[in-house]
Amino acid sequence: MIKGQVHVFTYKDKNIVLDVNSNSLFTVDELAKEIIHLYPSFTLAEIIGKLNGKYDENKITEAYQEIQQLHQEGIIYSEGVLPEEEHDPEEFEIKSMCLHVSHDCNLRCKYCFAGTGPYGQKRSLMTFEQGKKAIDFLVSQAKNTSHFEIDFFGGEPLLNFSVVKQIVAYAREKEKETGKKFDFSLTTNGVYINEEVEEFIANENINLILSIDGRPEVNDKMRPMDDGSGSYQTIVKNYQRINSERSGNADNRYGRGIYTYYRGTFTSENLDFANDVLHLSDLGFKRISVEPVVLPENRKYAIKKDHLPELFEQYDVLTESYLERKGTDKEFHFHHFEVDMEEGPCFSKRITGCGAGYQYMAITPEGDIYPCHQFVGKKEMIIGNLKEGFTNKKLMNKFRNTNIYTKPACKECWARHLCGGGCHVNAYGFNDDLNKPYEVGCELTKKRFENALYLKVLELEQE
Amino acid sequence: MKHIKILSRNRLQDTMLTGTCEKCSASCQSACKTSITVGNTICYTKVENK
Repeated sequence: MIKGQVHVFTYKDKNIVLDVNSNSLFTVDELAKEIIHLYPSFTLAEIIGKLNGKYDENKITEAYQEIQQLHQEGIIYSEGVLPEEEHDPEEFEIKSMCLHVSHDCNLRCKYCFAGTGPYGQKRSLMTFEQGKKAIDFLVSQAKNTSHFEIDFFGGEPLLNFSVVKQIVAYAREKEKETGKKFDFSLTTNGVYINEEVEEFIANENINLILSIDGRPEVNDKMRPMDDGSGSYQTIVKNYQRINSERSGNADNRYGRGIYTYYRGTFTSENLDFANDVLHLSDLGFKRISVEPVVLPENRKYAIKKDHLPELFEQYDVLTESYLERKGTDKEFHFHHFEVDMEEGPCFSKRITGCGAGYQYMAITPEGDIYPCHQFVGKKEMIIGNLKEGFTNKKLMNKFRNTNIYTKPACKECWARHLCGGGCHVNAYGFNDDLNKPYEVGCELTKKRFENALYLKVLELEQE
Repeated sequence: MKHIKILSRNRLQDTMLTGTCEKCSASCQSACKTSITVGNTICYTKVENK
């Protein structure tokens, strides 16, 4: 049994209550806010005793009874039950694949987790034969899956554009042959986007994740070309052309459909990253995701605990700007503010997180299979290869059985059903333990959720 | 209610499935790539059943 839990916080003039297990959302007045804190542990008489003098007894009783009613309806202090899932330890259905078509890159980004492309290995490109094997493997191991997601990733995938095209064509043949469907996305630094690429992504409905860090000086310092020159001028020209041609999204949130995300990274060099988000918005980009860099604390550019107050302020700036720009031609969507209360994922998805290693995998040009793209290069994390299939099911089961209720820090965290337990790579990288989340990341995540919930409150109040 | 405004009434517990039904996106597949967020992915089963 998971005990009832609420998260109560005040943001600007709103007292906001999230019921952690039911995911119900409320606003309350000052009196109800005080009672909610006392409610599970104290009786009405005790609460009257504590609040008498500050509030009228009748009002205390009235507010108490409202909370009690919602408790009885199972939407406040609601309890939960852990799923009793039984999986065959030999069976897996991976539906999402990160295809590393290039372990080379034309940029030399200073914070790159891929070591500027090769992930600490040799620079290489995936052959079409290897790509075909990856598609065949994806389809063969997931017999019950009807819908696959494939992201072309690198390094820079457009260094191997001809193979990207061949793989998509092959997958389209597979769609006809099997009745299964493939959604594609392309994560690119944008330098090689040209007419031919644009035509291809338009014809094949390819989703785009376009990398850019924001202001020119920020982008060019962190994302130089391999000759040391800046990349900003080239990519912005390409992105603005693409932006004018793509109407946006089939759905206004993150998911299937033709979406275009402008994705940046902030580091200790630009702690004022709200200015970078707003710069991207000023350029006319609508769907923006700017993420904290993930580097060990002793590395240059790393985000540290000391930076948190300043970063929290930046999320507040973004919240204000988001509201100011809403309904104007500069309206933008910020990835981490888009929390869905009504149509979000089911409980099972929320407790297990990203699915790395058992719903999601990354495949290298050499055919090695990893639980996710960020694990590539860490040999101990290899879960298989395209010749032999899955070779380390023990590790895959470890990923499948790691969830927010196996992580001591997550078990009682109010944000656990929103974040899904954090990134496995961060947990492994920072703490050498999949069950121990990256603390700084958790603090940023919780702050983003509070701001997102505030925005959600304003939206729902208008409905 | 005078003291509480219900903005979103949910029963997340009741959406429990034995394993996922596969109709949601991989949460790290696109926009983030480095820091997952699950609460902003979409359940297409719910959308389709609407």
